[in-house]
Amino acid sequence: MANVMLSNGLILWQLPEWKVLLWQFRLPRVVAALIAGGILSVAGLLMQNVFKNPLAGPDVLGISQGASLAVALSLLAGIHVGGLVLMAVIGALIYLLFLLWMSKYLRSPITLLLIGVMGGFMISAFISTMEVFSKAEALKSFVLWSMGSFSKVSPSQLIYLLIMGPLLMGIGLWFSKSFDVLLLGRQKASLLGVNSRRVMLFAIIVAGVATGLSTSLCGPIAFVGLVAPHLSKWLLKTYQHKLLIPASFIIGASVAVLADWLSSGVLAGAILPVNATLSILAAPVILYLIVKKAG
Amino acid sequence: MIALKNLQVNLGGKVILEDLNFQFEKTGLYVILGNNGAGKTTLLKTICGLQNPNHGIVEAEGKSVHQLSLSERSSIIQYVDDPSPIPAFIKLTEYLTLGYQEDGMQIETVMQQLQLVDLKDREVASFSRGQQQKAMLAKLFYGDQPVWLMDEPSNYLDYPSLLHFWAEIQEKAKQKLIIATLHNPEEAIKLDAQILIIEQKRLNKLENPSLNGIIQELN
Repeated sequence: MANVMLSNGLILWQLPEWKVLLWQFRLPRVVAALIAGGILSVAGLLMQNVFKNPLAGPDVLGISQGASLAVALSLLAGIHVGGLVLMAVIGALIYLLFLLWMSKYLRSPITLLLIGVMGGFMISAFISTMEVFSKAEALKSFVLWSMGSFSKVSPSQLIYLLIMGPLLMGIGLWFSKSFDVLLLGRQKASLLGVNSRRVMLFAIIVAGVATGLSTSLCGPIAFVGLVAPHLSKWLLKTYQHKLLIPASFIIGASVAVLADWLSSGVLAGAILPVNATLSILAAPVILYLIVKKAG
Repeated sequence: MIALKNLQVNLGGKVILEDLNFQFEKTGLYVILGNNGAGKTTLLKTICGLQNPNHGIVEAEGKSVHQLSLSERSSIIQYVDDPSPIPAFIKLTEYLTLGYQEDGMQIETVMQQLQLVDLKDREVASFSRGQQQKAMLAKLFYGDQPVWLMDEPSNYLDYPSLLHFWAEIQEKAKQKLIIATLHNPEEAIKLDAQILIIEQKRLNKLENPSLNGIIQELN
């Protein structure tokens, strides 16, 4: 038997050791992967709609880098504004609003993609520069964070995910009809009486909070947000967001848990970075989609 | 129904339309002709509220179009332009009702009017340009608002569809105000419509238009 204790040493309850392992290590990790994978996928779905771009996703458009910059500012430069999570959310939102503003002046979705990718490169360069000037201790924790992992989420951080996950889904589902109409383009949606600007803003808020939250807690997570929306559209053969939002969440959650499990020593006999596993899983799917689309 | 008052529209700092004053009747078909870049599309976009005027107002039922709420505006005016890419998995019937209440009877009627019944269960994304244009026009028919603005609506239609489409429009124009832009005077002259021309930033009505007269005006 082992004791489950609060931080002040108070014994909460007694459990057999396997249960302690489950409650303290396994379960938080699985829940983190489920919710982070799920909300990143909903973020990707909404971004693909708003930016009219099938390759839009939290990482591809550089939104994760926006969040990463905020984390780097906090961990490396010691700038704290209301905690890591809030900073990352603000970082992601600023980057998204910048892209939304740019997208008004661009005709081709490809250009937006290039701007997102280039912006991401610039931020990465900025972060690398910060790394050079930072202390060894801070650098170590930042590098570990930047590899991405679902295992470092503490039970108290898990609360954020448990509250925000359903909340973001709720907002998404509330606007699902408007998101459907927005698929026709912002001008056509507004002719049909939908306030496109407001609907897009809510989509951006959901995507930004989801990306900022999951990035600050689990590090930048690759590809889930891009591949899960496509898989859900392809499986359900629908455009309706009331179906696609839950489907993307479930598929994204499953992909993240699967990748996490495969990374934990099952595949290579060694623990792999979860982003490596995700890229290996997702990149071929995305390549297939691009080639199929391009005809 | 629709009145243009001292309307001026600039795009990118350039004056496109200037000092436009015109009163459209409550019903009837109006065809606006003009050369490429004359400002036909800009005028339609300004009337439906997508483009803000720099001076003057567009009045619909006595109120400025640009002050109406989105839902009020969408229940009075609709506008169709060129076919644009439609995302995958939207079937024709779903496309028609997107943004509206579903009404099975109305869907059937509209698909018959635009000869789309065979395409009923197909995805709009897989349509040819002409079929997509028909689908967009069908959406206009489905919405049934009192004012329709159509930007070169027959561009991609085959000849039989074109004749059929204009016959339907002439019928609809008995109860609606329909304003369409065209660039081909030969198509316009065959219609029972009032013909307007945009040239040198202004909108003029042609009295007793003849084909030669229009061609001279456009040159």
